[in-house]
Amino acid sequence: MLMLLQQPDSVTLASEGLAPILQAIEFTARQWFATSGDGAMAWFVNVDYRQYFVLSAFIFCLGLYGVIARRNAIGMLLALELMLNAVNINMSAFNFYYGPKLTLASFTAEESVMTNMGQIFSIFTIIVAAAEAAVGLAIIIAFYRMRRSIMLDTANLMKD
Amino acid sequence: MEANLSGSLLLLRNAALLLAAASALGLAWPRLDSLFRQLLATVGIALGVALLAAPLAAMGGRISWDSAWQQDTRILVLASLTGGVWLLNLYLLGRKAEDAGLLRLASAACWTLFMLASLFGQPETVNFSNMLLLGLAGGTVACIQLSLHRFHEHRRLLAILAVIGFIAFFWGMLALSVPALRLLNFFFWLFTAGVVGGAIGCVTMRNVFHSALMLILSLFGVAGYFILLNAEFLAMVQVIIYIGGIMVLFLFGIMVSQNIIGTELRQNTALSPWAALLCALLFGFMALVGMFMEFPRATEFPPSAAVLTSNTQAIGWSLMATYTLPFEVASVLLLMAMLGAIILVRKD
Repeated sequence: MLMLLQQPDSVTLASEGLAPILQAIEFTARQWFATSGDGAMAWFVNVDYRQYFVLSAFIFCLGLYGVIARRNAIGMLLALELMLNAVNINMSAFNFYYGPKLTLASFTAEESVMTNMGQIFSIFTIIVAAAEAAVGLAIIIAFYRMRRSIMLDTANLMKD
Repeated sequence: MEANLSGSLLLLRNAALLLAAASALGLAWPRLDSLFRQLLATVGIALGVALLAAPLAAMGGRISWDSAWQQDTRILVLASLTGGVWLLNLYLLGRKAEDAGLLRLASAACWTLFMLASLFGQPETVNFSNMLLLGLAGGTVACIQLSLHRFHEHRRLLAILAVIGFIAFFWGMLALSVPALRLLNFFFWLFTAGVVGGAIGCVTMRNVFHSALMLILSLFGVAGYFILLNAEFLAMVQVIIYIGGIMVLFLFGIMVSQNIIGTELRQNTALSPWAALLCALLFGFMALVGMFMEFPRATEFPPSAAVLTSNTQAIGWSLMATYTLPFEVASVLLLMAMLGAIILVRKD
């Protein structure tokens, strides 16, 4: 345990067999115990803005995959909602982290002014998503009445 | 740490450690285990539940930002909790559940780990070990519950354990979350589990109805993000309009067209491997950009508390003063969408 309590210093990476994995585990354990208390607590408290960025990128790409790969029209619309939500996350996150300096007033006033431009844009995105869902579902239902199917590869009316 | 302990507490802690070691030995060695089981089967369950219940109930109230938690009390709680959990596990090992032994080991290991970890924390603040205490309380209860899931005669015990665990967990959480802007990352990963799991389920489920339900899970997680990002109004809009309105519309749309949710139907186009490749590449690019691009930091972060209050009011002012024209355009858009939807599905 005393060995674990020492501060982690620079490590040279091993490259043979299981050695890198064991080394990584040991390094993590050292860090964990050496920075317990406030140091480990900081992990629970601090969110990096990149986390939101990468996460929303991941959600966006999942949604894009769903839009391209889904054969079912409703499934495609659901994936589209995922993409819109990824954008919403991103806008709110950037509003939270960069809101104070985005406005003109923050350059002129004494203290920085919190803008909520990103949140407003998110609200408009939600409005557009509502309209898109209504119209999209109406189109799907009309298409279903015509073809008794909502599979998108049967939608070839405009092709020929 | 030894200096802080009075005699009885030291005795108790040593007894708990001895018990832990003995039961670990018993777990490892079945013949010894049967001996322990005969010894402890009658009193084990009562003692274990009592030892587990009292400190768990006390724990939720004790952990707060203001009240100092004395080292002795903490060790007492720790030792009795650990002893109780080990006793309970030892007793339960005598029951017939071949596949549940691992879970019991896990729940006992939770507490032993916690005993180790808590020795390094500062007891009077919210720190790593106290957070772990709460998490492990829930984890232990969940493990015991999982390991007991086929025992019908233990249903009442299960319910008691679960209720105690959840009360302690949420009480402690409430005490922890009184000052806002704490534990953001913990909740971030909590919501991330829901969002990513829901999104993956949404694009991969064969049944479109299940897919929509997974999307609802994902949207709830996004609402949690909005709360973390001080966008409370947006979180409420997300729950009320997105989940309550749009997703219910989707569910209706799925249910009125009945024969589209057959699992035997092929759900993916032939393009799907290429789509997966494209999206993986795109995500790789975006993640690289996100990880390595340094955006200029905001001048003042986090924003001062006066700015953070009354998000709804600020949104209202912005919608009615700054963004009036987009607001009106959006209402026209909604009207057009409504008319278009009615015309499209009209039967004539």
